[in-house]
Order: sequence, then structure tokens, then C-alpha cells
Amino acid sequence: MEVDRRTLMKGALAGGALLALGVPARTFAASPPSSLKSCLLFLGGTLVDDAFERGASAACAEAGGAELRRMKLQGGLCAHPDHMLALLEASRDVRWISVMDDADAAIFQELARTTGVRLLSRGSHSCTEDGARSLRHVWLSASASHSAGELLAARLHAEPDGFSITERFLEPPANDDSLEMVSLPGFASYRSAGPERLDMHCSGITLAEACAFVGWPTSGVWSPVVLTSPKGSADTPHPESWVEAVGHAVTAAALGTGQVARSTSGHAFVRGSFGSAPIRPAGRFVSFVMDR
Amino acid sequence: MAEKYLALPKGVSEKSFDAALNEFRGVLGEASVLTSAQDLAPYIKTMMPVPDSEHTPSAAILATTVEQIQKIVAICNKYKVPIWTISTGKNLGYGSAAPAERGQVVLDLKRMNRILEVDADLCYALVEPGVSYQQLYDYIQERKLPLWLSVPAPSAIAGPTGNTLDRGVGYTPYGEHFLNACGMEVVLADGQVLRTAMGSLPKSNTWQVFKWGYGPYLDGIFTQSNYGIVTKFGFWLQPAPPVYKPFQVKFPDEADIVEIVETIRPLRLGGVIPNSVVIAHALYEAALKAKRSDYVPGPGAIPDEAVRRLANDHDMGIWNVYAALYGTAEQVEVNWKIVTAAFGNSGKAKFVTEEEAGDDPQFGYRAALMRGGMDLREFALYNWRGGGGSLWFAPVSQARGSETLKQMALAKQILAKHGLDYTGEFIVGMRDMHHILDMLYDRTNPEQVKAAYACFDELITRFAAEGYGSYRTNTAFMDKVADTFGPVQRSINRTLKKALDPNGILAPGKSGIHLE
Repeated sequence: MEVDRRTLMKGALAGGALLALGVPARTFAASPPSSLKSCLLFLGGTLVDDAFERGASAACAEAGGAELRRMKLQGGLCAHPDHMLALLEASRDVRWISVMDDADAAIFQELARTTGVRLLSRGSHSCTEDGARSLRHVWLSASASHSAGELLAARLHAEPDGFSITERFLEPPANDDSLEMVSLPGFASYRSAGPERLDMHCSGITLAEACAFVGWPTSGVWSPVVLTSPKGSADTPHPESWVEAVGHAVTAAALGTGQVARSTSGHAFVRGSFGSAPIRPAGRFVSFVMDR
Repeated sequence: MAEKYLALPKGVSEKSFDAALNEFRGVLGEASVLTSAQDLAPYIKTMMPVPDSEHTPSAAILATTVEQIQKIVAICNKYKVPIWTISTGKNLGYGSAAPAERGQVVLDLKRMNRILEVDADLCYALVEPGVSYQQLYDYIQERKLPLWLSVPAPSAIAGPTGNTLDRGVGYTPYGEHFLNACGMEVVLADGQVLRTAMGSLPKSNTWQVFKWGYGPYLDGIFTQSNYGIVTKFGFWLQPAPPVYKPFQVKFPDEADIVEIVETIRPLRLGGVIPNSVVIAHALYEAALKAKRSDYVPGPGAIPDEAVRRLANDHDMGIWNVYAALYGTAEQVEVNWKIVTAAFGNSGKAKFVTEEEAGDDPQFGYRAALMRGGMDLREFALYNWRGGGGSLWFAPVSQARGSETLKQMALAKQILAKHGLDYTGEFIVGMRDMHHILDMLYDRTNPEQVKAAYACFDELITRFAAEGYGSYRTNTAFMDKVADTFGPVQRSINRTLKKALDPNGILAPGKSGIHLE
């Protein structure tokens, strides 16, 4: 006989582990999938929550005022996986934008898979003290249409410090060379000719160094691409912090702004630091965008 | 035109795969056959130092009945499509839910989740593979049954079938999970359904009470293997004891591991301490209380001096022993005197009882696991280094102090060489110890990924050279570990594979078992 866990878990939700914030759900202002009714910003109770939320709110404002429902986890997901599972199971037609630490992210991903989510992107974001180019973002995205990498690159480009952004797309690339390659002013662009079609954009650093930094093949297969009009970032507002920039990029991608088809399996933006050591605060977190 | 699928099974054309998927849809329904990137993404991400692309599935299919699974294997045989079966799929640090090889179809049994029977008198349960520990725990609590589970660290989100079939362990007196397994039902590659041991008799009521059955004991060949798909799983539950007394013993130096093990072994063999004791190094639990960056500013392994400082700052032992006593008040009182006297000989042990621990999270989660409770706080480990990289290295040692010291020293040396920390613990059986070491690294940093791969490879190689085999490993290193057990074992495994699965459709590569 099956236990009615939904009843049990819904009772547990009232226990205070989750805090609902913000205004009721609104539909996207941009081009949401027609089946989705609302967007939820789920904050994992980390030190980056506030900054991420600021960036997310800015993205919503730019997308015509779409408002996010917000929910904040208290006490850590590891302490209340059953509450999290109940919340996911009860969720219908919602696009989740989530931010949490590595431990909670590992559990969250497992719980999400249990409930049959559609994972659009998972990003790992860090600013460590290990080296000069220590701001690192690594994404696995379902497809290029959910890409947040170039949105983030555009915002970070306004800052003097170095960064690396790597994004892989699970969907095979469209076999259409007429599709636009997007880059930024000041970046040299290359495309790999191997079985995987990868785009590398680097600035203040050689191609070989950039490839080594992100762990991509360095030898032989890259061809330079001259872009006649790379998208500018001159008018992009300076984010208050790198976390805010990530919050903005992830949310903008989730809301469907800036979606462009790509003929690539992945791309990277690597910029060397123009200053000395970065002055950003250290930190590390994981972002998710998924539909449930 | 873009490719249609994220990946194709090895040796299967797109046309054949189209046909196989259509037949899967005919059996399971459209919604239970997943091929889109968004639907498969949750199955792809692992924590291993290899590209995700090496473990990308071609599809995921969700089955809920034995009959469906029989039809699925028939389709797989027809089109030579390999399937990788997961139950709850929470094999964190061992490959997660991703298949062993690119292009395999994940057969996800999470929805096959009926609790078929729980007998409170004979203390056993019979479940389907998708049942989680949390689900079973809730079932027991709701009915106020006097039964305890034994759970691994992923407790709430993992399941008894998957954990036991991979020969995982827990922390209660029933912590040797496969020892307490009793009877299973298996769908074979040819579609036959086997009920092992006493389950083969149609009217049997001893399927879950007597392990051995008649003739060769077949249950074992379905663990850590690819010889069949388990669709029902029986196992024993611990009767809830009247008294449960968890405790912690802290030791200040790494060399104390010798004394610890020599003290514990007779207590375990003599039944004084009945549960699988854990001897955790300070770094294993450090993330619960500390940030690595506060003790190690740059790259490289954490120095011993910093570990001592961390342990001191947070009132941790360098070794932290967790054990418990179970029984009547009289039994516990007698055994407590024995335990405290045994550990008290050197004067180095510092005892902490549940009352003294208060709300210490380090004690709290261990106490929960030792009573079969649901607690995931061990996974604070993943915040120690960050970056999502984790591989469990799991060699076995004798329950002998000199051996554990030797293994720890060897592991530390290899890890430090690659810039990684020793985050290890020993789980004490009777005569053996599982030396569980979480190799934590930043998976977003290519240098650390390279170091992690090289380190894990070296750990396997050098430990095997000393005669220490791994009891379990992740999907990226299964062949390497299989090699350490020599060609005869591999040959026998292959022979069984050819006999039971001549088309090689079931989890090719699991534990290094291939057709050729």
C-alpha cells in the first residue's frame, strides 16, 4: 500500500522551512513557453541571495516589468529535503530560477530529477583566490536558446577584471553557417573545426592560453572568425557586483530575452585581467533554470 | 540538418533507434520516453573528472511494471539497444544517474515505487526499486511500526534497492546492507522473471526470511553487475530497541587511529558495539563548521598544521569515532561501562554523549544515521572545496590499526601530491573496514579536473599494488578497478554475461563486465 506522501509533505511545508516572499506570480513579459504560467526565484539561503535577487529584479524590469514570485529556503536544503521535494511535486507550469551552494545544489538536482523537471541550464559560478583570472562561470545548458553566457559576458565586459565563461549546449548545433556568431568588442573570435563546433572569444589573452584555461583543445583545429559588427556593450549598465551580474544574466535567459539560435555546441568568453589582483569578494554558488 | 538525438547507442543507427523508441512509446506511452535535451539534462550531470559527453544518454524511459520491463528488454534485444537501469538514481559520487557509456538508454524505475509488504513481526520489507528510504520511513512512522531502517549517507533521497545492489552500507547494526538482503525478483535479459532463493516456490512465505534457498546462491550475482533488472527487493529491518545511546569519542592525533581500531575491533566482534562504527577524520566533517578558505588561502592540499588548527577551533578531534549502543537499559548500561573502560586506557579519548553534544550538527547527523533516520547533512562535504567534483575512493582494509594507518598515510600522500585533501573515514565492519574517502575537487577548474583524474587513477593503482582492492567505484573507473581483481574474475564475469545476456543489452560496462 502506498503512503500518501503528498498529504504528509504538504503538512510539512507549513513547518516554516520555506519563506514565500514578493508578489504573486505574473506571466512573462517576453516570449515565454505557452505552457508556463509563472516564474519563481528560489533563493537557497546563501550569502549571495540578495545580490542575485537584485540582478534578477533588474532583468525583470528590463523585460517589461515581469515580476517574480520569490521563495527563500531557511536552514539549508540538506536539513529539509522532504520539504523541497513536496514543493517541487506541487509545482506546476512554473519556471524555477534557483541559486544555492554546492551541497544544496547536489541534493536539489537529485530531487528535481525525481519529480521530472526539464532542466534548461545549470551554472557553477565562483570567484576564488587561486589566481589572477579567478572569476569563473561554467554552464551546462539544454540548448543555445537558453544561453546566459553571452548575456553575462556583456555585463562583465564593462568591468576591468578578468573572467571566464564556458557554456556547453546539449542539443546538437543547427547545421547552418548563416546563423550569427555573437561576440563582444575587443574579443578575438575563433571556431573549432573538430567534431564539436565550439566558439572561443578571447581578449587580453592568447587563444592557446584561453583554451588551456577552460580546458578546451589547444592544438590545430581553430579558425579565426572576423565579425563585422560584434554586439556592443557600451550601454550595458555596470552591475554592482559579479553576483548581481549573474543573477541578471540567468534571469534574462530564463525570461527568454536575448535568445538567438546558434550553430555551436558551446562557447567560451575568456578575458585576461587588465588590473592586478581582482578586487571582487570571493564566493561560489550554483544556479539552475528549470521547468516544472 | 541538425542531429536528431543528443547521442546514439553504440552500433545503432538513427533509423533503428527511431524504431526502437517508437516501440518503447507503444509500451510506455509518449510521456515516458524522453529524448529532448531539457528532459535528459537532469540525467547527465555527474561529479566525475570526465566530460559529461562521455556519459550522455540517448534517451530515458520510465517503466512501472514487470510486464513493461519484459517488453522493453525484448525491444532492446531486437534493436541491440543497451539500457542502463537506475532505481532512485542517487549514486552520488559514483556516477549519479548517468549511464556508464555514451548513448545508453537510461531505464528509470523511480515510478516503480510500491511498498509491497512490511512485516512488523518478522521485521522485513519487500519493495519495488523506486521506493526511497524516506518513503519507507514515512510508511513505518505513519503506522507506528516498531522498526528501524539502516540508511546510507544519502538517506532520504536514496533507496534500499539501488543502494544494496551496489553493496552500499549504513551505520546501524544492520549497516552491512547486502548481509541483510533477503530475496529479490529479477527480470532477465531474455524476459524471464526469476524470484531468487525461497521466492521460486509459488506459495512460498519464506522468501524474505531465509536468504539461501536451495542450490547456488544467485542473489549475489545481481549485485554490482549487469545480469538482470531487479524489480522487487526484500530486506530485513531492525526491531526498534528500547534504548538507543549514540556517542562520540574524539582523539587528538592521526596516529591514534591504531589505538582506536585495536580498541573497537574486539568490541565489534564481541557484540558490545553492534553497529557499523565510523571513524571520521576531522576534514570529513569540517565543512559543517568551517570554511576551507579560512585555513588554506591558495592551491594545494591543506597542511597538517591547518587541520590541527581547524580541529582545535571547532572542538573536533582529528579522529572522531561515532558508535552507538542498542538494547534494554540494562544491556546498554553494562555495555557502556565496557566501552568507556576500553577507550579509557590511554587517557587520550574524549567522550561526548548525546546530552553533552547539544545541537552540534556533527554529532546530530551521525546520531540520526545510526538510528536509521533521514539526514543529509553529510553532504555539507560538497561545500568544502566547492565546484561540484566528488569521487568516492573505497578500498577495504583489515580491522587492524596498523593497516588503517598505512592506508591513511598512503592516501594522504597521493592526494597531497595532486593538491587534494584527505577527507576520509573508516566504517568498521567486524573484521574489515570500508575506507571511504571523498576526493573533492573543483569540477569547473580544468587543472583540478586533470589532477583529480590522475589522483584517482593513482589511488586505485597504488592501493591495488599493496593488495587493497576497492569495494565499489564510479562509472568512469569501473574497468580499471575490475582489472585490479585480475583476469580470472573478469573472464568468469564475461562468461556469465554471455550466458545471461548474449546481446549485451543490460548495462554494458557495469563493474567492467562486457561481452568481449
